[in-house]
Order: sequence, then structure tokens, then C-alpha cells
Amino acid sequence: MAIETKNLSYTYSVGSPYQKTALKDVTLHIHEGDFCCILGHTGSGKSTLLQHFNGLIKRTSGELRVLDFDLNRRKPDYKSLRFSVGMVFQYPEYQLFDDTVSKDVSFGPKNMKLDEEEIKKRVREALTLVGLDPDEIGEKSPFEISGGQKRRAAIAGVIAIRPKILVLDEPTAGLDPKGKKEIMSLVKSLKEKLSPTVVMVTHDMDLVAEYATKVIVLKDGEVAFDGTPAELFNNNEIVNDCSLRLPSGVALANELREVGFDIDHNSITIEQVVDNLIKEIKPKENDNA
Amino acid sequence: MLKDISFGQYYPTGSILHRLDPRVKLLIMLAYVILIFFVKSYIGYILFALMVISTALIARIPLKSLFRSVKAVIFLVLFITIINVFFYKGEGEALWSWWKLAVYVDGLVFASKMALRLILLVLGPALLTYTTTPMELTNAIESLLSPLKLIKFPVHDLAVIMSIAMRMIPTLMDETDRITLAQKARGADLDTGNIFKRIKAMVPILVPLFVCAFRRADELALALESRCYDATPNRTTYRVLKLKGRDFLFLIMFLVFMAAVILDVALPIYYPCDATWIEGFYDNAFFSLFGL
Ligand SMILES: Nc1ncnc2c1ncn2[C@@H]1O[C@H](COP(=O)(O)OP(=O)(O)OP(=O)(O)O)[C@@H](O)[C@H]1O
Ligand SMILES: [Mg+2]
Repeated sequence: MAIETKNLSYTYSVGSPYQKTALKDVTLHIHEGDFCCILGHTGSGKSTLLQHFNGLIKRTSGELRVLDFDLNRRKPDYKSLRFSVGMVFQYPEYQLFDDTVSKDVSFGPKNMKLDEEEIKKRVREALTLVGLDPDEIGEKSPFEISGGQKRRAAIAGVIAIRPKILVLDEPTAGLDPKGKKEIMSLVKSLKEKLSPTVVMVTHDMDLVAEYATKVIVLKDGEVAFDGTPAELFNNNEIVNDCSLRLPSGVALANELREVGFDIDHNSITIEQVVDNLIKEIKPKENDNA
Repeated sequence: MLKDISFGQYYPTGSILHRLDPRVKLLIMLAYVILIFFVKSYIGYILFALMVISTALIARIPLKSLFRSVKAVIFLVLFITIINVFFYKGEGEALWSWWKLAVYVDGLVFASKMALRLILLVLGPALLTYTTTPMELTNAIESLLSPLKLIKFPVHDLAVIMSIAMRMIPTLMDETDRITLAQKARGADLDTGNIFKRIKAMVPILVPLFVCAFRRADELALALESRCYDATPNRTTYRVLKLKGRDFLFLIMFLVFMAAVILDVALPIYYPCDATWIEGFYDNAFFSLFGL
């Protein structure tokens, strides 16, 4: 089990007029190897939940277990936890600070107190993984590279610690469709090569349909749904209740069903629906012939 | 982290004090700050303390939250008090002395008054910012300074600069929080080590923060210009400030308080004889409380 919570609750600014309960009795399980998407309206508590996973927010009520770390104990080892769970924030490019990209990427490994050689190795590895040339881009200032490169550099800064779980808070925010695709295929390759478990917050249902193996929907700090993407998008009640949009594939499938095609409910991306449709049409053509 | 500094933070309860005209509150606060420098007797400080506490009660601000604003200056208060207790050269016999240090009754009196004055000096403006939003304050300042427009003083521009600066404080605090979290997630260690280590540890936070501040300033300048800021010389405001009954009520109440304080300050000057007796009486009464 990668992440396990039981009745996890969290309240901000207890006792002040700004008191706000952000999580209520959240119980969930995320397995090793899952690509888990967390959905929900703004203010539903997604970021609060993510920050629990690497101890940036300290558990106050309920149970929380991440990998081998039991956060219910009196003094959990937050430092090692943070090196096991890599966290990519929204607009991660705003965290760059050092005078070269390589130095910035080495910030994490340096904090791990690794030796010089190992740090160098990890910086090269991380930059290569995100598709930046360590010798060319690595020597540039983080403020003179392009926006897309900045985001990649920032992600390299997180994966240089070689986390076992990769947590991303809206990694595609503010990107054009092409940039979105690039970042997502990067996340996918990182999942294959480095961090087998990925937890991602997103508002983009097409990404959910394409990449997620598991979906958790939060509503006002509570878990409103927990299951597979196909189950979610075929459950109209939840979709309307949490005012989620449908992915284009599911919308297309629904239209096709209305005009009489029998589309499998497990087809949720455009490609799957089109394949399904072709299979539907082909035998009929053969019958006619 | 930065949010712990409650000085200058709005505490919304919707009380009558929150709805008061900000100009009235600002003027009262100015008078309060000036007045407190004239106070010499414990009676005066008790009057001020009563005023602060009753105002906080009317504003429905928990005293605990109010006193949090003192936390920011507590070290200054302690420092000044300790220095005064040990180094004040009073008359008569020293209560205690060692090397160059000596404690006199006068020193204790002086130090306690100094501490009271400092604390009250912080509490007054804190009450103002607890009950008044930065925007209201800016409007009040603009309105109070508007006569200066006659001598071509750019009052409105000044007000806009002030409101932008105040508007930016919470934004930058949020940004600081976010950057701090991002660097902590990469294992940044901000709370251990000696002072030099800690200052060095701030670099990964300060650099992105400055970059962000400049970026925001740039964007804001563009937004202002693209909306033709400065094209209309006589801008009107959405909320026009107007004095109401409750404003006069509070003004009168404050004038009564002011009269009491002035009486307390002035009496010893006009009747020096009696006054020293009064002073001495209160001083001794105060110390008898502590068994001195
Ligand atoms: N530092 C804080 N202090 C007080 N309240 C907070 C704080 N951070 C978040 N909140 C509140 O907690 C609730 C949940 O916030 P959270 O950031 O987890 O939502 P979210 O689902 O990530 O939203 P978004 O999609 O906008 O990122 C919100 O109502 C928010 O106002
Ligand atoms: Mg969020």
C-alpha cells in the first residue's frame, strides 16, 4: 500500500474567525503502481490532502500511513518522508532560485546530504529524464530559458531526490494543448522509470480519462467518489453532483448511444470510442455485402 | 509562518466599531498615540488600559487575539524594562546593588511605566487595524489629506500607491507560504542551525519571492495603463464616506476620555503640592500590591 488514510480531517486556523474545515473524515487507499487522479471543485480540499502525503501539513486528526511511514506516531520522520514523496506544486517554475539550472536541481540531493559524485549523477539523470540537455540547458540561468523548459527544470528538481511516490498539483495549469501533452507524457515516463505511484490533481477530464487508473473525487472536504474513471463517468449522479465535466470521449459515446450505437461503457477516450465504433460498423457492412 | 504576526490584521466581527467611519477611527487613534506621551501617572495608564479593553469588548475581539499583537514587540518591552530597572539612577537608597547595577524604587516605577506605555502604544493601532480594512484606512487618509490638493499635492496618487502596497502584503505572504512549502518539499531545512545557516537557508525563498514581486508589479503596471489609469483627473469613489450618528457618539465618548486624561496630566501642574501627594499615593498603592 502506498498511501492509506482513515477518517483524516483537517481544519485551518483553528479558533480564529478564518477557521475552515478543509478535510472531513477522508478514508482512502492508493496502491503501489496506481495512477490516481484527485478531482473536485476549487476549495474542495485537494491541495490540503496532497500536502498531508509528504508531511507539509502535519496530521492532526485521523490516521495516515505513507509507504513505510506511520504518521500516527508521536514524532514521524518528516525529513525522510519528504525524500520518498516528491511534490510538484502548481506553477513549479516559481520555485527556481539558483544561478544555473543544474545547481537548482541539485538543491534536493544536497539537502539529502549525498556525496558530490552522487549529486552530479542525480542532476544529470533528472535533467535527462525531463528531456533537458544537462550540458547545454544545465549551465544556463533558470531565468533565461523558456516557460516550458522552466517547468521541466522545476520537475527535475523534484525527481532528483528519486521519490517513490510522485505527487503533482495541477501540473498542466496554464499550458497550451501541446505543452500539456508534453508534460503528461513526461509524467507517464517518470511513472515507468522512476516513481511507480503517481497522485495528480487536475481539472482536465480528458487527462483523467487517458491516464488515470483510479479516481477520487472530493466535495467540500469529503470523499464523494472512489473508483475507476469508467465507473465515475458513467455515474451521472456523481458527475452532476460534483459539477464535473465529461471527457470528450465519454460525451461522444453518449451522443452515439443516443442515435442507437452500442458503445462499451469502458470506452472513455476518443480513441477507444472510435475503435469501438469501427467494430460496431464493420460487421454490419459485412452483413450487407 | 508570517501569518502569526497578527499586527495589522483585520478581524471581522461586524461590530459597530467595524462599521464606524474610518476617518473617525483614524483621528481617534492619532489623538490616542499623541496623548499617551503626556501621561505620567498610573491613573492615566489605567484610564488608557480601560479604554483599550472596553473598545476591544465593543468590537467583540477576544482579548487573547488582541494581546497577540504585543507579542511582536515583547522583546523590545522586556529589553527596555530590564535596562531601566538596573541602570536607572534614582534618589535615596538602592533596594539592591551589585557592581554597576542597582535597583531603585524610582527605576522600578520608571521601568513599569515605560513598559505600560509601549504596550498601550502597540494596542491602540492594533485595535484600529483589527477593526478597519486597509482599503478603508486608505480612503480615510485620502479624505483627510484632500485639503492638500489645493497646494497641488498628489493626494490621490499617494492613496493609490498606499492601497497597492497594502493589497500586495497578503499576496506576497501567500506567495511566501507557497514557495516555502515547495522548498520544504525538496528537503529545505529552515528551522535548525545557527543564525548564519538560517540566513543562508532563506535564499531559496527570497530569490523566487523577489522575482514574483517584480513580475506582479510589471503585470499591475500594464493592467493600470491598459485601463487608462490617470485619464480622468477627478475620480469619484464607489463608497462615499459620510459621518453618521454612531460616529458622533464615539467622538463624544472619546472626548470625555480625553478630558479625563488631560485632567490627570494637568492637575499636578496646577496643584503641584497635592499632585505629588496624589502621585506618591498611587505609586505606593501600586507597589503595595506587589508587597514592596
Ligand atoms: N492556509 C490556509 N488557511 C486557511 N484556510 C485555507 C488555507 N489553505 C486553504 N484553505 C481553505 O481550505 C479549503 C480547501 O483548500 P484547498 O487549497 O485544499 O482546495 P483545493 O481543492 O486545492 O482548491 P483549488 O482547486 O482551488 O486548488 C478552501 O476553502 C480554502 O479556502
Ligand atoms: Mg489546490
